[in-house]
Amino acid sequence: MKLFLFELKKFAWTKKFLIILIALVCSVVFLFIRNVLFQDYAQEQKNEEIALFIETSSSKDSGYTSQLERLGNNEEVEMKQELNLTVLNLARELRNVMATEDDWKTELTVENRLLVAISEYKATGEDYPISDEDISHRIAMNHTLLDLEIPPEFEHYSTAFPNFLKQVVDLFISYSGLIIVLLLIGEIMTREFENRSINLLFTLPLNRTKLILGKYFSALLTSVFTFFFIIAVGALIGKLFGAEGSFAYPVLIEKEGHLYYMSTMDYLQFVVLLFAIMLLFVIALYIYYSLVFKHLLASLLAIIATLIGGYQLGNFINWTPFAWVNPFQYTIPKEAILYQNEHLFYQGISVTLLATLLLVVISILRIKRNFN
Amino acid sequence: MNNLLLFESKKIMKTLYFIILIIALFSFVSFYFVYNFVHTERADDYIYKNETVKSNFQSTIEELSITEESNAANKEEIEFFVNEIEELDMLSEAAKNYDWNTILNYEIANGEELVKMSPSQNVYTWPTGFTYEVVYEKNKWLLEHNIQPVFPIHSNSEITAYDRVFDTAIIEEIAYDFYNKYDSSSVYFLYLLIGVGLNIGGAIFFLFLFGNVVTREDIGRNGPINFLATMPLKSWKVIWSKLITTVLLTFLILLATALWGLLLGIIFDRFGDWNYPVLIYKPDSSFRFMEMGNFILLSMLLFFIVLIFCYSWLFLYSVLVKQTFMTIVLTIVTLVLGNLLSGSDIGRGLSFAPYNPFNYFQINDIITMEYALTAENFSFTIWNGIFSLLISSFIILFASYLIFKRKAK
Amino acid sequence: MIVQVDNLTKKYKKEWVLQGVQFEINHPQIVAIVGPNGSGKTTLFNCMTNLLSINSGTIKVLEKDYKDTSLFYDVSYLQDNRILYENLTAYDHLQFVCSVMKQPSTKIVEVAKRVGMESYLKKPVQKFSLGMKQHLLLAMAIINNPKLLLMDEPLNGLDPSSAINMRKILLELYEEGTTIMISSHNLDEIDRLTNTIFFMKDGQILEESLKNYNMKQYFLNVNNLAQAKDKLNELSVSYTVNKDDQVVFYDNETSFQDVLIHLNQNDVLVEDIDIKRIGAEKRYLELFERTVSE
Repeated sequence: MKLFLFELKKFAWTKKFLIILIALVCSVVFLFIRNVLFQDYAQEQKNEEIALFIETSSSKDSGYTSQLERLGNNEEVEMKQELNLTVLNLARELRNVMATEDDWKTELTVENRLLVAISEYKATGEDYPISDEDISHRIAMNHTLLDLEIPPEFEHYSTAFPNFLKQVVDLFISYSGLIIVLLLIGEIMTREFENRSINLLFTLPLNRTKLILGKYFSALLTSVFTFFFIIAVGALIGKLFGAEGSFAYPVLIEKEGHLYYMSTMDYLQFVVLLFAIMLLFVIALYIYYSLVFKHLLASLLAIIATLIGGYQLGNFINWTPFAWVNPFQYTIPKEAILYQNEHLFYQGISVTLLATLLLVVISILRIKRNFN
Repeated sequence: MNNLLLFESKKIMKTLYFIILIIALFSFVSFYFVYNFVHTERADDYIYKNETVKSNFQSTIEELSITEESNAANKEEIEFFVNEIEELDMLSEAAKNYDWNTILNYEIANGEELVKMSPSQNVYTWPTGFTYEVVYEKNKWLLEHNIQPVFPIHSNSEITAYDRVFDTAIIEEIAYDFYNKYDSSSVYFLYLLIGVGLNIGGAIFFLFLFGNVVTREDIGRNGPINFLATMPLKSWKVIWSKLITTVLLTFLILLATALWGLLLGIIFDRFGDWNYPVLIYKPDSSFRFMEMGNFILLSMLLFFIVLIFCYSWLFLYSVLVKQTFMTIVLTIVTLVLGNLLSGSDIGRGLSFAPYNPFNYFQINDIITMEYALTAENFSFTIWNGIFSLLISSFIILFASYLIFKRKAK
Repeated sequence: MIVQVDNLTKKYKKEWVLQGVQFEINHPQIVAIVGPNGSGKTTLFNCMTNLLSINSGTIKVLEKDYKDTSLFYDVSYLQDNRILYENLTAYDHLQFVCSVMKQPSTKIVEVAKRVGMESYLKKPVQKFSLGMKQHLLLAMAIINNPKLLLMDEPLNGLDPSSAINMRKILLELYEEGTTIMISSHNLDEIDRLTNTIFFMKDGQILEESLKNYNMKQYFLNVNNLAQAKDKLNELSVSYTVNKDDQVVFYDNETSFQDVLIHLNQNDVLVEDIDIKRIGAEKRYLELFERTVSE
């Protein structure tokens, strides 16, 4: 216990740790301010998209008219023109609905009708500036929102509490969580070697197993604290300044090529769970690398290369059972949940935990063998 | 100054870490070469692919002509397939004799038809009319310059920035399958290597390589800097020699890597064609080609300048926080954040964006002007990039020097 | 004038490390700086070499402004071994210093021999022991035949024969006209090198020279202790007898010659004499007794 506290003090009680925490708070605040400021921008983008649809369809319409003039009666062209006209009219209707600030339900309904019309038009083999995949994603999303009676939010610029919290979790846990961990624990082991202070620890009546475990758990505790802190700050800001929103807000996921949705609450829980498991693993791996290389930059580079390599390998290998044995699949936890094609999100949990245990044991054996 | 440069390079190179990283770099290049070598579509592969298509056609013909009746009813279609098979035979025969011109002529004739249909062609969805035109012109260029093509070269073998929509994920996969070409000739291999290596990832590798060039002196902690400070040397020389050594070594490493790539190509395959066309975008849906050799040289030049910019941040943080770990972290965070913020739609839309050095990390996109095209601002040129990178590097380095002078005490 | 320091002060994080240091060295000599840990010895050296900025006062070295880096052609500073590059060999270090100092490269081997480190010249520093590092630091410091040599704890980790060799080298340098300022805790060794000692306490120099305080301590083995005591009492010499039955006395009270003659005349046979210079140690104890006992 003494050792654990000593270890904890060594890096949680530093200016660096404080600065990291402050920087994280600033980033979360910055994100919220950005979302507030960019509401108009997001709306603008949506308007631009509709403007593009209208422009495309009207130019296509005149194209068909001149084509018909040239060819005389042509059934195929006439059909295409008709479908295109439907799209054009719906796009104009949507623009009107959006401009007159009607209720969101009408907006979504019209948007869905427009999307369906576009996909029908595209089915004739014509060109349109939106892909079939986008269309089906958006239709599914809008349907779900209508069913659940939750008004839509801008995906990347939401100020509603649940959506903002999701964005915070995505950004600071899914995408940069592991980087923050490395930032926190980067020097945990290598500094002892580079400063030779490891010799102090080795010449004290300490059990070396406890030494590794002390390092491991203090690193873990610091990381866990940091991520709780991030989530708490995100929740606080979202709660205080954001709109109420709903934790049932759907998150679309892809399972074996089909679209499903889960609630934001479930999504958040799963991401945090997978990240926590990855955290256990990455800290163990990093301590092991630090013991092997005894060199800061080498250990950092090695772990970055391993994580990226392992993750890419998972994408590269199409063998379905691989998900049972790949401990790197939660490198970006968000992706593991959003795209569950040929693997389910929980498949890697056991192997990741097993690998963690293995690494801790190897590290302990190594530190005993190396210096006894 | 010479003795300092020599001493600095010794300090860097005489570490196991440095040697291992260099070995890793060269192994990566070698593995990537093997990968390309294996995936290169050679005459045999080309013929094999044709044969596969042919046998598909043949079975279709058989199906169509299963009875006398259907044979008569599908006469036109059958004729079409028979024709196709003849053409495939002709192409395979040409490939067998390494007669690229015949194949090119065939593809050019094909492309011409597609290009002529231009107005009714796709504007958004792959393959767009623009893409067809690019393939057509590219094949013409290959024919004119008498260059051995890198397969595939058929009409669907490109993806351009104008192809904004892929209807389904499967179509996208197919498109990229055609688009990703591999070749183990020296020039083309270097071109591919540039695509994978000269980006922010490559820059981070170099930052790791030289990450502790300043911090190893333990400024402010009675470290080796106190040794240099008690030598008859001016303090500006100390920091300059570090920068120059780093830059020189970087140059040598880039050069050696390129030479290694060239050598691998020459030994195991061929030198390739300096004049191989690389697509460069121009405003208003026009384009031109650049010689691949020149493209490689320009890419390396821009990357080199980008690295100098990265080093200037490294030096700044080194003298500010004086500690390896935080220096590397802060440098990488700065570069990545700078990239993300500058590369966003809003960042690129700013009036001074072409003079924002963070916009120039995507070497390939900058030189092909794809970056300019997607940002709808053709001021994103390599020369604006070099200018802004160098100016900002100079300012940051000067700031670092001032801080170094003050903090070394 | 070799070194002139006038009213030098240095504040480090709200604490005055040097408060008005003042001294002058005008002719080549060996000067020892002695003081307890934290008394400001290293800080003084670091200020003199412009490694640390000063708060007030003036420093002049070899008639020049101390900030002029060209001074280091003639001034060497033997520092803590943390300044060495672990991954480089001794040869790499010496070669660099040699080329910066514009010395012929033959000097490298020459100086390595002089210091006694030829055998591990090509080994990387990370494999060095403490003493080997000290050898390298010494070699680096003397390769340019400096006019002024500052040495911070040069005796750390040296084995006895190395220490003797270092003393020899320092005395040779002194003969050649080098001024040496040496900080050390090894008072015995200092007594052998010099009798000019600066005692530092709380960032000030207490005393410049021990010339007037140069004492020797004599240990006499006599054949007749009782008689010797009587005779010495006659001479009113203050003496003590240690546990080895040696008569112990200091020479500044009565001359040593007088004592010997007096004992001899009174049939006391002096069988063995041991002489020890104790100036530094005795003065140190007097000055810092309170500090030590506290």
